[in-house]
Amino acid sequence: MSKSNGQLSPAGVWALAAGGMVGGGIYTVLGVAIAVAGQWTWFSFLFTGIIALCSAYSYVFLSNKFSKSGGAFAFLEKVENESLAGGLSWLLILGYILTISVYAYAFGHYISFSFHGSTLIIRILAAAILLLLIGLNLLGVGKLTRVEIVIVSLNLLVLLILGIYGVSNWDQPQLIAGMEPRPFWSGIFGGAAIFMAFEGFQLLSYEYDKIKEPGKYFMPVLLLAVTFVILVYILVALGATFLGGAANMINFKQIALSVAAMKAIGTPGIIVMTIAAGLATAAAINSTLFSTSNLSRKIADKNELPKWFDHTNSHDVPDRAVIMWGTLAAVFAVIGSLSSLVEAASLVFLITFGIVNWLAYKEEGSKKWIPIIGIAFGAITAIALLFRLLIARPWSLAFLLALMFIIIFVRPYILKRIS
Amino acid sequence: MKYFAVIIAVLVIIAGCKEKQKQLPVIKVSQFLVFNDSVNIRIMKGEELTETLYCAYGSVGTPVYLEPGLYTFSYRDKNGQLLSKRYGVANDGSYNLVLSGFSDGRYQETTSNRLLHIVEGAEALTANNFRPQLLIENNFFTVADKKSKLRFRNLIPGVYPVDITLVNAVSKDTLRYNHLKYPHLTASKSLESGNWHIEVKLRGTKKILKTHSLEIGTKELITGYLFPDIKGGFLHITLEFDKVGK
Repeated sequence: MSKSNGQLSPAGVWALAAGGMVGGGIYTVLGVAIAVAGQWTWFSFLFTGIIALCSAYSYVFLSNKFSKSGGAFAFLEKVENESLAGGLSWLLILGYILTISVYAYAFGHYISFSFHGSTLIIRILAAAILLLLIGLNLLGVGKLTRVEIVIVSLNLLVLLILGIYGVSNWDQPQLIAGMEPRPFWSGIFGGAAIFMAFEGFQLLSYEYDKIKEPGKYFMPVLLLAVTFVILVYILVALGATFLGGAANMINFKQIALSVAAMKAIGTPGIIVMTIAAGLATAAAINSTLFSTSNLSRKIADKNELPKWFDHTNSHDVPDRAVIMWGTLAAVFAVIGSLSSLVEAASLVFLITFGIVNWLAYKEEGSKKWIPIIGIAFGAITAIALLFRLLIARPWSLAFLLALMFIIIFVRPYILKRIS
Repeated sequence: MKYFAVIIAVLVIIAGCKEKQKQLPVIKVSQFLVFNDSVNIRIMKGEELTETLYCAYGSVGTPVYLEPGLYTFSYRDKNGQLLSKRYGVANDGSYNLVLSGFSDGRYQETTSNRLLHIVEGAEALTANNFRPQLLIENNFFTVADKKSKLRFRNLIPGVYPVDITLVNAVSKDTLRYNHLKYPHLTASKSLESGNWHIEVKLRGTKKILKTHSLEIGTKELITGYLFPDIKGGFLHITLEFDKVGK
């Protein structure tokens, strides 16, 4: 179904794109969104979903135009904006590390919840899954496309059942159970906090040269996958809250979907959701770590990262990048808080998608309105996120801005010194 | 894959067939508004008055069962100043509503509290410059067999954070809740059933504010409220416990 003659079929592209988004996204962000947006959580997913949809269009448009794998970094190189390409590549790596840490954090919480594990157990599990996947990647078992597609299918099935079952038990008071009702506009703040739930589709832009007839299939398939995920997120946001109740989703935000499944069918619900979340987050960590390490190798090859990252082991795996980024993600997963990690990753991907939409706007001839909508909605969301960070977590914002300052202004100096 | 789908389908069908007995939402209102002996809390659904509760200082209220929906909980002081908050309640929900702060006539929400509510929603919590607040707590919990969960809320406005240490009378196991600031609620921590000795200290000092002995059963969520004994002075604190069973 997925691959023919080593190429990704449209069904395979669809599954990897949908799985890349849903893989870790909804398991980790739902409780964060409900806390901010309450009964308008579904609107958070719709609003940010529109940014993802426009950005998906821009990614495919640029991939087709340049006929090149490599995502945003490759697009910027093609338009000969190499200094921005270098800066963005560092920012992207930071975003991917944060994303991996969020998935590992979620893995630890979901598995531990099934046997009432302690905080220490959660941290050990988060670190252990990363160590395991670092090891597998070093052995050259990095991209398991077929396995990933099976996991994605199971994952989507479980989420669809939860969402449909929840919506069939329509219980409106549960949307604000144990909390104050929230105004409509809070949906934008909710979306800002959880935007990273949509980032996964762009990993496909690194696989462009493996896609069967990309000029024909890539655009409709990717747009279909993003639209499908938006609908799944809205369905799960409503269904899980009807089953679990808003306050429970917030208080147990790290394991919100397990709580909803438990409220629906008891222990079997926890078992199914633990398996689904465990597999989904592990697959998402694996594919993101694989893509990030290969991206690092390409960037190092273009002298935008120290050559040290160009090193490969006997399995032709960029071993230093795998170890470095995997370990850094493990550290973040062990010491970070869910909201901080999710928000930092969201900000990085809002900036990245903004740049890709801007490039598409410049290169596009007839459908400029699509990247314009992406840029406009993205700008609103980024402002909301910056405002949220400024009020709620000013130190996290200062740290992120300092990192960005280093990436933009200090990076060229570092690279010059090293070379 | 196919087997997994069949298993899930069967589970869903079973769950769908099972007639679930929904429990009405229940709420307990507790009064920790310093310098107020007692208050009346009005509970309204829309324009309709549902309940008026008399709440004495430092005690956890009796459970009140409500129909699911959106309610306004309000308190009016003797000068006619009003503090009100709207909360939703739904089936199977169990909540505690806590009135905290100083009753010194300043009821307006601080700007920082308002801004934090805009961006953080239900997770926003500040001292609100020690002005009166109506805070809601969710009593849903999960716990392993033979264990219970315990959490604490600091309701001593204007005083340094506290550190709480518990020691099991038999096993000497230790549990710590450090740096608990007003008006925060700690995370719920699991602990074995049995007798536990509690010691509350002012953060960064050796001054013991309170010692207490607590018998822990199984499958309970216990909430300990730390609040000033207004007759004895601010640092004469009292502990009141609320227990919710599984």
